[in-house]
Amino acid sequence: MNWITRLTALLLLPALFAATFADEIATMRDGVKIVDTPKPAPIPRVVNEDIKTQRSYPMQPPLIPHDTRDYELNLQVNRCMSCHARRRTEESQAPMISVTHYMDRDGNFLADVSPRRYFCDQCHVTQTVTREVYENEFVDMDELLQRRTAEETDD
Amino acid sequence: MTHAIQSLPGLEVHVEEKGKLVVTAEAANVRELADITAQLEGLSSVIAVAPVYHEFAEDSPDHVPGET
Amino acid sequence: MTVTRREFMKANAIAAAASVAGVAVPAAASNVITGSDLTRLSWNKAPCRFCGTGCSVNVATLDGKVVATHGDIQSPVNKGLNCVKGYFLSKIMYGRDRLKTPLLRKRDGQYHKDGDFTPVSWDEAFDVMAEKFKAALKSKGPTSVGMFGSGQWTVLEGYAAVKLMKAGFRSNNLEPNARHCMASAVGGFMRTFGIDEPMGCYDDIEATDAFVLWGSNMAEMHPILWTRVTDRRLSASHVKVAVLSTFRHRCYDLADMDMIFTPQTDLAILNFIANYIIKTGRVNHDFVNKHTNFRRGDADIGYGLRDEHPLQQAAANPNSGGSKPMSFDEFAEFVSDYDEDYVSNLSGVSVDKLRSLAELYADPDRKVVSFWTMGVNQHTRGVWCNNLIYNIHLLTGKIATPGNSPFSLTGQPSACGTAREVGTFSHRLPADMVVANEKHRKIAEKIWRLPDGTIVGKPGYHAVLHNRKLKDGEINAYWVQCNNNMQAAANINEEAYPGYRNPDNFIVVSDPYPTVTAEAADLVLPTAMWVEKEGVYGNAERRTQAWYQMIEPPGESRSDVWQVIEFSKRFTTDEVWPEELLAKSPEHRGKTLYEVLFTNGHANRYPLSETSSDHGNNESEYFGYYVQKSLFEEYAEFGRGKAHDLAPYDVYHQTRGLRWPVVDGKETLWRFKEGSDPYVKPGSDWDFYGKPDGKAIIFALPYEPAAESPDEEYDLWLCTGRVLEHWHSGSMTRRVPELQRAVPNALVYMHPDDARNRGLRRGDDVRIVSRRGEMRTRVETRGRNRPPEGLVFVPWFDASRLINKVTLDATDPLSKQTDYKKCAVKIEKA
Repeated sequence: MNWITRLTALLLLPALFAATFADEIATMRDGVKIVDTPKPAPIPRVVNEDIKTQRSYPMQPPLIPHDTRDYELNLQVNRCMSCHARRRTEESQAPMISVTHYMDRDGNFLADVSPRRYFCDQCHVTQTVTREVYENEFVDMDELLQRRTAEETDD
Repeated sequence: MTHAIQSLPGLEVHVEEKGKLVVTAEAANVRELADITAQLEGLSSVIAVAPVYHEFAEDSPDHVPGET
Repeated sequence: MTVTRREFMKANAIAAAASVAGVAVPAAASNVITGSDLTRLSWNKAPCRFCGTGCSVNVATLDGKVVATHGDIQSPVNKGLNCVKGYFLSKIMYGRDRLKTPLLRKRDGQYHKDGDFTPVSWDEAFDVMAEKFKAALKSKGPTSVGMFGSGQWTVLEGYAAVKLMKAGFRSNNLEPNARHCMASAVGGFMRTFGIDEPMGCYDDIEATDAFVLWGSNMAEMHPILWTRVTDRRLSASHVKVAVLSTFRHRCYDLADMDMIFTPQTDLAILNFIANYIIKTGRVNHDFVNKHTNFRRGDADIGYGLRDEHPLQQAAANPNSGGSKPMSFDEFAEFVSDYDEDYVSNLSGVSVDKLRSLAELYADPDRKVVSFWTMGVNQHTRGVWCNNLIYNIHLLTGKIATPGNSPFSLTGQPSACGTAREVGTFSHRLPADMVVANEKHRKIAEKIWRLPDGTIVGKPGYHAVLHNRKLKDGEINAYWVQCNNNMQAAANINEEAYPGYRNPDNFIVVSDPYPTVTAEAADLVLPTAMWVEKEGVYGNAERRTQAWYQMIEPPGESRSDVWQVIEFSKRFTTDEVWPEELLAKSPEHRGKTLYEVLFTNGHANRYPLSETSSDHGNNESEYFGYYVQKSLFEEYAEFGRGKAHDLAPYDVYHQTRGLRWPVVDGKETLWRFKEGSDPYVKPGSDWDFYGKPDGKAIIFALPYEPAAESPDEEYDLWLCTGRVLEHWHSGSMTRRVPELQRAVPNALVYMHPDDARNRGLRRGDDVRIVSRRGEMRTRVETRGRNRPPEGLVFVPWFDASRLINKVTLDATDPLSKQTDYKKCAVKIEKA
């Protein structure tokens, strides 16, 4: 095979490669074969910056922007409420629990937090600094509305 | 002055009012952006440049996957 | 004109800068959207995609995308609440690596078992697939093809699959992943009551005086039901919550009585409670005499392992569900062995706690709800465990009335509605019928307009056997839909993986995302999810719920039901039915399975014009008739009049679901009870009509040890399960950044002393090793789960940490359900 042909072959390869997928398509194994055992990433620390992140849509339960390690939440004590209860917020400056949490199952307003909302951690979660995050193409409704507005004024 | 700014690559003037201009700058990476800003400040008719808004597009080398 | 992201960013920048500079903003850059037209979102209801609780959500779409969800205020199940997973439903369809074209392994332009995944058209995909299925059917017959479906299939998808497999290919090798989750519960129902599914409903929660959780982590796995339990407990001070498990988890935060027991000894504790009730004279003799029979069940029944396994060889009555009648006195004698000292020693639970627990059941003035899920079902004596829980409710008559409820919780969103009710199992047909019963087969053949003898009477291979038969090369063409069994099935290294990669086998996987199961396959089909198709689910309290299609699926992905129906066009009866069958009904000769099963005039009798004018319906538009309604109404024929009555299809779109049996438009809250269940014989008060004599069965069944207990070398129990933030194998929830960041990886939860004694500290990289394989992860000693010494817990949601390489595929021999909660491991530094 003379050098011209070899060069052509080299040039062709990238095109071929692009038309097929590699064997290991399981995204979450990051190319490690099923039969192999990947090295586990260290346990990432919990985000503890107390910075509120934007909610993906208005009704989303806000994420917990601080570490909650050793926070007790049981029959005897509710640590979350020691900062987030209405009467504690002036001192703690923590956001008050949503007014929706004062409603019972039938939509009646109560004087205090409804027991059905007692276990905060069923809806609110902390975040870690893990780098193992998978891209998501969810589009915020604001962006969609912006596009629409732009379309309308551009016509 | 508007002409001078618009002649610089990547810059676009959107509003001009009472001596204030709203300008957008687009660049391939932060380094280039810094260069453009420096050029802007270098113009004799520009008193101050105040960056207000900053965002990375998805195909930017500075973009971290998973963060918007 | 569409706006690019770049233009959008620029608009934001301009607005921000203008606002800071205090100058007027050009109209196109305004950041505040006004005008109610623009802000109006389109809201539609759907059941949540996740657990068996079956919350209803309202889904908002805008410009063809889901942009928000909200707990449905009108649903009696959740009344406006969701759990954290439910609150992120709007993101589960948008993972960037969503599959958009079929992928076929190819080498040199042809299918090859070891080829690289190559995008192909649906046509080519089905060409190769049909060729492989036909080859298998021709060479080895219907037992060489198989299908593994799902408790997350819609009712229509399950029903279409049942028809294709059992009537089309005449193969009973159809199994759902629900075999791993509810089979023992089903076995328990059938044995005790003769009919499947709970007799109570969620209303029992607000009516009861005590909750007992048997191996069920409701706080994380049925969170909205847990909010109802919490509400009840915190609103009424006399209410007690008792939690029993093999490790401490979040439910213990609400417990008045907390018990940790040695794995498998739940059997002994249950027998102790029966003993206690009898010894303290609190048997409801009136109820017991009128409504129950006693039977002694066969014991020493093996562990569902391969026949050569020493444990199987040693079993006296392997796989036997047989039993003999006995008297009440004989039963009392049987359980008297389970006295408080014996059981306390065996289980590790103190005598005091055992007595307090038993008192909850024995006290005639206290209503009690028992909840259980996988701790009881994923158990080598799971069916027995279910029977024993029913025993104590039957002995006291605490059953089928508000607040008195042995409630088997279902894990998946439609294990009830689809897998169980439609019968997508190797031994079942719809409405609790079974292939082994000739009368039942004839009923199905009649509804399906098929000749006598189409359906095969011999049950097919169950889930665990699927993997073993794939490995042994006896199943050669296999279709997996809507599950991630390569990650979910126990004993990956020895059975699952070699099975899929056996060169004699052709594996097809339908999924929205590239999972490990897809990677192990030969053909991957891109599948539509959740609100990308019209569907029906049935939850744990028998509530059937429907939803419309709300958005388009991406790329070329299509729903499971479309795939099954379209694939049926590739086969004619001549190719898959024997001559004897064709001779019985010559009118079927030469017809495609599509014509025979899906467009025979009956199965397609609802026209396209009846579909919703406000919603798309890709399947119906494609096939030219109302697919979902036609399948549903034909399926409903099986159960109407047979205590499985479903309402007319359209009603489910108008309501927040109805609990079957729905008779004369009225749903049934408590079954088997006069006044609530229309099927109860008048005057009988309670009528367990699943049994010929209307009496439920109280079973005498012993404690028997687990299949593999810790020993010298493998000195720890391994228990597996889930966490709140992730559903099952994480293929959906781990693609939601907020959920993934909350709990990114599966850790091994262990007692700090166990760690220290092995020279380990929190965060260490360790190997979890069993006789079958290993997994590497990091140690957690202060997480949400606090195991006792001697046991570790690992969740299975993490594709990069496959704990099922370590687990054992021992099953309950009666239910064939894998025991995921008990095997022996050692942990060492990596």
